Amino acid sequence: MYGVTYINSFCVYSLVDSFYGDFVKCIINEKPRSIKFKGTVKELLGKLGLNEQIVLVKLNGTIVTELDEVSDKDTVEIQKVILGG
Amino acid sequence: MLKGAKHIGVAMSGGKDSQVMLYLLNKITKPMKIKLTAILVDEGINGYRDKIIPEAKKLTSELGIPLHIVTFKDLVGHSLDEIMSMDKKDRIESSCTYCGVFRRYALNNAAKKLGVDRLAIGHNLDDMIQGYMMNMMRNENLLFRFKPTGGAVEDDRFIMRIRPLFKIPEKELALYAVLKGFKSVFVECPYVGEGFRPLVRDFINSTESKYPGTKFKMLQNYIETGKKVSESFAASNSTEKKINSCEKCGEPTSGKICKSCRLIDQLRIKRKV
Repeated sequence: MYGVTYINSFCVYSLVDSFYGDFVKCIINEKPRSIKFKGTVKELLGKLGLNEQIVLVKLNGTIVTELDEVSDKDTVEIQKVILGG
Repeated sequence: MLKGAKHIGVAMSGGKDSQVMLYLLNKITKPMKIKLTAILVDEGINGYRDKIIPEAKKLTSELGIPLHIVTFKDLVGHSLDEIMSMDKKDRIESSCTYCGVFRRYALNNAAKKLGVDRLAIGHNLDDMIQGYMMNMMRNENLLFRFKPTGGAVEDDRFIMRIRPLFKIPEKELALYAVLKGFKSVFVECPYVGEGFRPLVRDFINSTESKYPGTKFKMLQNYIETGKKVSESFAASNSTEKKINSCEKCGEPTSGKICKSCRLIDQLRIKRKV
């Protein structure tokens, strides 16, 4: 099952197993979305269309770099921190 | 930057950059017995600044630093929201132009009233190189005015500006703010889409992502080239070096009327301060 929650203002992505492999279910602006994924944080961000320069990423509650690997059942939290103004 | 300083005005928006700047300046200046006063300019942007101001109040209160708030409403009689709701034929500039010019005027005005000898601005590495690139693309004659310390022209009527965060990437400041537990509110200015900056910001971020180190190289180029241009400017007889007093408000300006007064005239509103 997908585990989707909000932690503070972080947007939470939960990786789950499925018949077709690893999927990420994400919520962006309260709209759920799932994508097939396995790889680094940078690759995940690329798949989501997010530049690593504008976000902070937590993997299982710890802030990580873009080079860290994401595997299934990990919880990935992505927060956009560079905003205009 | 801090040599000889006795009283620093710290430009405070309440966002992550200014929170980190105030926190670090407080740490550094306390043993040096330098006084700090936070200055917050409230432009009057509903749903944006009103959400951030409580964070500024909270941090300044925790650090025991006085907070001086000045509003556009007090300064020019109208909030930015009110100016932007005016008829388009009356407001010919973008929101970012009104905001930037009036905010600069408000900060200078408050800094003079408070008697500070330095004005600390929270420009980070990203701000510096975005400004550099934007000025270059617009062929601005004051291309190198965003120096780490001071401005394009030295004059006693200007309060020295310092930019202590100029070498720190914006993302690292955000990371520091999160790790320090600052309750930064990540909200976006509703007028951000009107400006030129997002386009430049996205381009630089995409380039940095593909070619890491680009941002630092741009900053280095800006500093090295800016130094040479400043030296050549100082040795020249350029008329741009002459600083006049604005005929309307008395503030220093390169022309007869300062940009702030020109905008106020265009909007047909009255300056209050």
